[in-house]
Amino acid sequence: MDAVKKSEELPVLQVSGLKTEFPTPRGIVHAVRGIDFTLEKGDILAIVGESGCGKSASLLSIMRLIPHPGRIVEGSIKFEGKELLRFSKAEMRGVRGKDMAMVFQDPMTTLNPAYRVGEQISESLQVHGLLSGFPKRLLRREREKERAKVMELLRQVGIPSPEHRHLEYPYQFSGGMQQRILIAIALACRPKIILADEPTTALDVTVQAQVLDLMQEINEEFGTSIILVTHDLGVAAEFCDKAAVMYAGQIVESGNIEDVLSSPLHPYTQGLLRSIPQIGQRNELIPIEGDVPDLTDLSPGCSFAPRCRDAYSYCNNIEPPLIVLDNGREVRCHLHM
Amino acid sequence: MTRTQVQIIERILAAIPIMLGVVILAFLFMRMIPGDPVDIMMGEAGGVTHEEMASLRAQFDLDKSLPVQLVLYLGRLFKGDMGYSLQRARPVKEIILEAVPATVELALFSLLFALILGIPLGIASARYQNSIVDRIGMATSFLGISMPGFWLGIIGIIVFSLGLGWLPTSGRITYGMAPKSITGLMTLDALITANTGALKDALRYLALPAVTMGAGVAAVVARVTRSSMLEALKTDYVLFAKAKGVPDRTVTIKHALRNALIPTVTVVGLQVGTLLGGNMIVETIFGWPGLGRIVVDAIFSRDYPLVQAAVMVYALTFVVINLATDIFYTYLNPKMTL
Repeated sequence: MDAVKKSEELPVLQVSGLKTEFPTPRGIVHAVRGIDFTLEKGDILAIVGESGCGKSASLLSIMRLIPHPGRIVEGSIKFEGKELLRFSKAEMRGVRGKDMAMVFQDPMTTLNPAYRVGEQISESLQVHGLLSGFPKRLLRREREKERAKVMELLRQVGIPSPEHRHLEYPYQFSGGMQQRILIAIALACRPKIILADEPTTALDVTVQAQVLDLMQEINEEFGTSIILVTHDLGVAAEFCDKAAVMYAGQIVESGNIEDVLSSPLHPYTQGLLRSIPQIGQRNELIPIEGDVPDLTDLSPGCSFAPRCRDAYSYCNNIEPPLIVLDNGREVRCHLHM
Repeated sequence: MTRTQVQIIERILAAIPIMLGVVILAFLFMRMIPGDPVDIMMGEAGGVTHEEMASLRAQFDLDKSLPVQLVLYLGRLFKGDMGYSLQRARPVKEIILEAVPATVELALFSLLFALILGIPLGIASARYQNSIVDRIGMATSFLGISMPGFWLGIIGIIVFSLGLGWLPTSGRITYGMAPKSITGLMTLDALITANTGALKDALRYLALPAVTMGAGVAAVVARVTRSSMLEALKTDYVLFAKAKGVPDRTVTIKHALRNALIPTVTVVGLQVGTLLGGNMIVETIFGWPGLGRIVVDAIFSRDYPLVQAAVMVYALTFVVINLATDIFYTYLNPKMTL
């Protein structure tokens, strides 16, 4: 896609100032604390961070699927310029699975054990009116249409002999195959965005690569934008165009993936990179000292300061602003003022 | 034949030794109770000589040793002869066949009441956890579990029959209203013969005993359904269904309930056994001409053949219900096999 055309188009997703909280008996958990990012058509964005840093909560917020009693407190989520936070429940249902689809971490628990996989694939098509629902779907003509569509999707995600396998139940598939089925379901309505929450974490390394390749193919073939939540920098590096590093509910650094990985600006990103092993190198791994902060009780300053090797004294008291640098890079750190 | 069909046949064959064991146990237990039928009958009649009692014993084979009696009994049973009721002087088979439909009908309606009340209440309580619906529902169900059937039955009679005069106090149907007997279930027969008058009448007689017996079951069903629904609603596949854009109600019923029903089915299976077998008290309170009342009478009069036959029916009921429960599991969770 050429640059001129791209600039004219609205970004598929524009998130700004998004805050999500969960009231608990211990206090309010500030799971997402004002994140901003833009996703252009065809982009693959990695959201990277440790567990509990608000990655999954961010994705669920975008889908407006934050479980009760959690809620989005403020911010804006614009899908192709339309404000999702102002959508009615019914309008939002029309977006879910149709414009924005999700892929979850553990396919074993994400597929419903009680239904055949073909049934689960055609369900989203029925819900969004792309296939006839009950009772019309019982008609022979509709049944054949449904079968053909399910077959096509299973073939697209590389499931061998779909004509038999669409009648099988989830437990009859391996983890990798189950994840392909999830992707087939996500793909069914040709969404503009796929939100993938650690889609390869539960899989073997060899299978991981296959699933990522599949998602890349989908991205190239249909121009689907993808947000990939991962804690694996290797996966992000291989597969994504852009990266946003999250820490304690905030995006602390973002930019093109090469830039972020080759010259990390935020001490947290630097720490993450030091703590992953490199094949063929015998550098000592340096873990990040300390623990992730308690999201119910955050300090007024930078939430990474207590673990930061480079922190000034005021880092603990004054919250760093988001600093915008050249080349689309952003960082939230006093060191780059 | 599919694998499931083979397994069902295996299960049915496996029931034969179970039934045989139950028959032998019932035979032995009855004879462990002091006093035989002749003692009881003649004790009531009075003025009977030892010779007359001996000849009666001989007539019922009671003079023979236990093993011989057992062999004779089993021999007749295999020919389909359940014997003669000592007290009622009628073939046992006839008595049982008359009583079973009454018991089954009452159990079915109790179950229907329990499921119609219990399952939606459980779903609503889980869906709106800690809401007013949940709190009131669970408080009521706690009452339902704690309240003994005989007490609830008597209160029901006092309020709805004696007080308000809405419902009859006892019996199965108004004299002369009974529809032509086809299945023995009054309501079903009335439906088949399109006899709305009889249907209404039968339902009025059923209402109190069915609610009395079903209340406790409804409470248990509501509680079990609630807790398994609470778990199911938290699963990934429910969240995923929502992410697909499936409407909330469909998510609850199609995705969560189907999986949450497994514990409910287990409980219902056990309860159906109790409804069919343990309703002697309710049948007695409401003068319901079912198996429960007959068994109680038969035990007191040491009516060996009748008790033994009734125990057989009970055992068969449990075997069938367990099998039905297991078959239903495989439908709910395709991963399970029999």
